[in-house]
Amino acid sequence: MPTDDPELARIIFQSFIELEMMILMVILGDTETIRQALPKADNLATLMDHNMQRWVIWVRNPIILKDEFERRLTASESENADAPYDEIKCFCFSPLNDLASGVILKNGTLSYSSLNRSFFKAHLHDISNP
Amino acid sequence: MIYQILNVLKIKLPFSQKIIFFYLTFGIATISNCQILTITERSKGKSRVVELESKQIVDINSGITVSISKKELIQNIVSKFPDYSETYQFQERIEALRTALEFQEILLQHLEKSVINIRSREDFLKLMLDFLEVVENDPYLSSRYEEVNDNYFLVNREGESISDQSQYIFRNLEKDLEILLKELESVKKDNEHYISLVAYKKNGRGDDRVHVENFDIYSEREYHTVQRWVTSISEEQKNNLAQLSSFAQNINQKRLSISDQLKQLFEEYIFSSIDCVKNQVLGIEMFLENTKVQRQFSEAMRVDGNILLDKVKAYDEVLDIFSKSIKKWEITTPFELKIQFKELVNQASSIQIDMQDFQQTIATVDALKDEVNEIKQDVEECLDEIKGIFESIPHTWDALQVQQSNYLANKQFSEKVLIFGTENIPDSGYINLKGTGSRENGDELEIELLLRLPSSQKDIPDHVISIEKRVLVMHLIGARSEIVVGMIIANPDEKSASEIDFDRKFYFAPSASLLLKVGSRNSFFYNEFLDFGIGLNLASTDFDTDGSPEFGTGFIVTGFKDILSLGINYNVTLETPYWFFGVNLPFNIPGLPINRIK
Repeated sequence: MPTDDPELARIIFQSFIELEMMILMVILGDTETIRQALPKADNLATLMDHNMQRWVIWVRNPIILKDEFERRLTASESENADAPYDEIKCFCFSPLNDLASGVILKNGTLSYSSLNRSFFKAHLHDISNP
Repeated sequence: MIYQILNVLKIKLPFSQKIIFFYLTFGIATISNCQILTITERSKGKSRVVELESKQIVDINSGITVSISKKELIQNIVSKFPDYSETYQFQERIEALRTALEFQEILLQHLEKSVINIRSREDFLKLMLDFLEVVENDPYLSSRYEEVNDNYFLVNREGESISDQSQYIFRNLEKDLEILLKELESVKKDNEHYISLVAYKKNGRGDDRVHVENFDIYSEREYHTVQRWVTSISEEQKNNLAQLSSFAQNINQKRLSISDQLKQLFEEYIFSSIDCVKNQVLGIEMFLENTKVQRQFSEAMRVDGNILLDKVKAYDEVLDIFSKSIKKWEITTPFELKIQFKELVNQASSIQIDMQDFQQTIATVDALKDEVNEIKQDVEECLDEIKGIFESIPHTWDALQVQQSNYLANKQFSEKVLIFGTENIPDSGYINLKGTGSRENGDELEIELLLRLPSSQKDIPDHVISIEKRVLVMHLIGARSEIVVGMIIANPDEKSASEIDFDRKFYFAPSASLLLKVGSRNSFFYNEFLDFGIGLNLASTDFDTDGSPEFGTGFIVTGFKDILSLGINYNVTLETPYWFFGVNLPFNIPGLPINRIK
């Protein structure tokens, strides 16, 4: 994601979120731990699950899409979705309803297991709340 | 502390020294004292946890659940024996892997389905989330999951499915489990130890083991419910005063300690057996010194005879020393004694074989045949008697152990107490107090968690270390009735009946009271000291001292375990009221004043 062009960032994000059958993972920030976690998220995104695609977008500057993400997070009833935006470092959008889920806070770890859980939570969200 | 230092320095100690260092460490360092046992009392359909800080009083007819915290247990063991931490680390990892692998079959079944519906998809996703939560919550699993995934993604996995990745992960976790199980086996050999849970009922009448469901295979004692509402005088109470004297005598006899009883037992047996061996020594000596015998003997026969005589003499001396040492003997190591008894039996058998050989040799000489047969018969009878005694003593001992208070030794003897590792120890055990036989208010129930360290030598018992002990006092909680018999000292009203001899102010009279009492769950002081009672009193006074008792009844208040009482009665026969007090002490003390019949 561009770090200094909010409009371009919004357009790119919009083009992803409009796609169906896709779980979109958002990773916010640019720290050492984020950089270590990115290949893991990328690896997990290569795996297919019955035609369900996984994509990862890295938002190095979280401010750039703050309004958009905050609006979507506020609309979600998922665990930790109501946490302050500044406290969030990763979450996913559900494949059909595009609702935020699988939120990982800044005090959480970005490991294969936590990232995988985030993907699965987003997937489950739409099945449990059709 | 010393132990920890040695551990850091990687100094390995032999097992016996480990035990010594454990005690040193125990004395110096503060050992983790986290609570391992949780006691829950179930009474009248309600459950209550007996907190450590509260009074340890439980209802005498309740059920007791003893729960064990494995986590605290392991921490406690590791704090005492740091060498064992490796074993527990392996066990912890193995348990974590097993938990994770429990998801394997069902997850893979879901993943391999070609046709899926929303319902099965939801089930799969929930299962997957549960599995990943298990992984995340365990540090070992979490780190292995990272490593395995790192390895999996070393090559390009584009186009592969979650099913492929999951199969790869589970395959690797299975391999981990196999490796850990092998490693655990090798570590366990060096650090073998087991856990047992035992319970004992303790009172002044002798201790007894208590069956703990899941932890031993004892049968329950006779089923006995302590009656809450007692309204009739028991036979025991009827005979109470009359039997005090003989009762005291019996109690005095019972107060002989177990070691005294055993010493007495052994002395009686061993002294009688020594006499018999001494007679055999004399018999063989006389036979060998007989000139008729000597004329018939070859040189080889003489040598054999002397060897046999020396053996019997030596055996006699061993028995002699053994009997003398018994008087100074402190019973602390019953298994050593068992070994000694076994040795004495073996020696007797060996002498019997020598005697048989000697008899067969001598029997070739016709003139000596009868005499040697007679000696052989005497020797065999004597040694058979000794063998029988030494073989039977351990059984007698075991019987005494059950009755008496040496319950620590009892723990060592019993094979009915089950042993567990921390991985398979049951979560809880259950004690039905009604199944523990007769008991009284104030009896104690001792529950103890033991660490057993097997001995490296055969026939030597496990080293037993107490990990945690709880002592509960059993009482009938809440209202109950009791019948109490005793002597009262009555003071009749001077203005009433003319038949009463008022030269005396007080009259003694036997009485029985039906008392209402309350057992407290919160106060030992009340239960065991104050113990107030209120109720009806029936007394058999003889105010007119004509030798025929009158009937009196009224109200009574008692306290201090019924030792003191105070009340007001009405003598129905003479139609006169009186007040009374009682000091319920042994009334058969010689010299105690009683009413003189005119």
